[in-house]
Amino acid sequence: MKQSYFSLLVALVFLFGCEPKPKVSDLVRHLVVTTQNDNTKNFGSYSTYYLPLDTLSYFNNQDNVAADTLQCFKCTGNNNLLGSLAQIITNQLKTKLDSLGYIQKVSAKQSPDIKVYVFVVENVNTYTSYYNPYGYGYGYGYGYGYGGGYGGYGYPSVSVTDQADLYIEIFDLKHLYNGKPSLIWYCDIGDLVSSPNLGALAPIAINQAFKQSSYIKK
Amino acid sequence: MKKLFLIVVVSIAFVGSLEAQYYYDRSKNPDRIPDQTKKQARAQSSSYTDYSKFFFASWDGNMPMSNASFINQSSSMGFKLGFRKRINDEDKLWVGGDLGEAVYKQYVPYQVYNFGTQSVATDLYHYAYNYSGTINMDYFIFPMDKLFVPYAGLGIGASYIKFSEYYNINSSSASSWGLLVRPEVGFLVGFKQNSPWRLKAAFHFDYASNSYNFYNNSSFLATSKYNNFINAGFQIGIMKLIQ
Repeated sequence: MKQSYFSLLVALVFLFGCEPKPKVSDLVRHLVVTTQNDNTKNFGSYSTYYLPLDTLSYFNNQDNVAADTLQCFKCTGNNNLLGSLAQIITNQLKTKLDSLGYIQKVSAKQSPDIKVYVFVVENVNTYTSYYNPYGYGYGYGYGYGYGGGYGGYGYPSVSVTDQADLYIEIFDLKHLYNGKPSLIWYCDIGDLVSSPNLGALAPIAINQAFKQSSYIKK
Repeated sequence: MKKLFLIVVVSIAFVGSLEAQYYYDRSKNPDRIPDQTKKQARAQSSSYTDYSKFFFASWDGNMPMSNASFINQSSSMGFKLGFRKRINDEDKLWVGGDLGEAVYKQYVPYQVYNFGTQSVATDLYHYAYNYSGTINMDYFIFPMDKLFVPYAGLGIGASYIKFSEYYNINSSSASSWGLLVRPEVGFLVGFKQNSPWRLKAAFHFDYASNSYNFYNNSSFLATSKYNNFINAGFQIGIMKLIQ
């Protein structure tokens, strides 16, 4: 009889701890596109834009240097971490803005009405937890100090999360706020790291960003 | 209306009194042996085992009948575990409890969600993890030594629903408690006469008072209000009778 109760208890613990989730491959079929605008601005009043082609800024939270690292297709080393992505993204943006009636200025010195700033932010986080098969807790002096190679008195489990988003920001250069360009449109596209085919999905996501921001037109 | 009500009450009282007379005078109905006597006769048989408890484990399929804007797909991911104890010698009234879990899921195709000046485009998955615990009473039409035993039951208890929304690498969760009422009708089929192992199948209808307003939770893209969970389901499983 005791055995029956025990079996039931084991079955309960096993079954009730089970919460199925969607497959990761199903979740990352599309990129999430978030846009927000300053609705006091009339995008029809702008005519020209400035967008550096083939180049974008890159920030990584594990980088000790606060400044961005410029990424471009033809660069090498740390300046080519994103491969051809900088070229794909900026070309798609140019195609889209041109089709909406805006004219590109090749230099910021040519007094464009708006500036398009493109950057990628990558966040890499490492979590370390310690599993102790003998049940000794931190309160007993075991734990971190005895982790790893100390005969199984607790070994570390390391998990790494890596996530990156593409940001596209449009600044108003015609109407400065406290002498600085003001942000009038913002777009966040993610997650770039888990996306299976970024080269194909990024242009689709950029098109979607403009589709859901139908107010951006000349 | 009052007249009709009076007629119905008088008719019921009349039929009731006839039944009472019928049972009172046993000498006029010698063929109607009381259940208790039958039970004693069965107990004398060498193959008879007098079961007083049973456990069961069932697969549970469910179809939500409310809150279709959050989830409207049927669920095949459900199970139920239960226990019953006989409360009288006639094998008919059994009480106990059920524990159940059912997982509902729904894919929402790629679309744009607008919140003021902000717009979010994504496809997503809605999940509802339903957990229930009920106190149950079942009435079995025939004694347990029969091969086929239909029954009707009622469960009353608590329902806990965890709502989750998954999109890309993001997820949000919220939960709600509610009161659950679950009537069910079903049957047991023995693998042989008076077998301790039976197949148990039942249709059930669930009403739970759980509610949640997603509009008030900015971490969800869903903006609907989840109100009173109503569900119809079918369960089939194995039960084990013990003495």
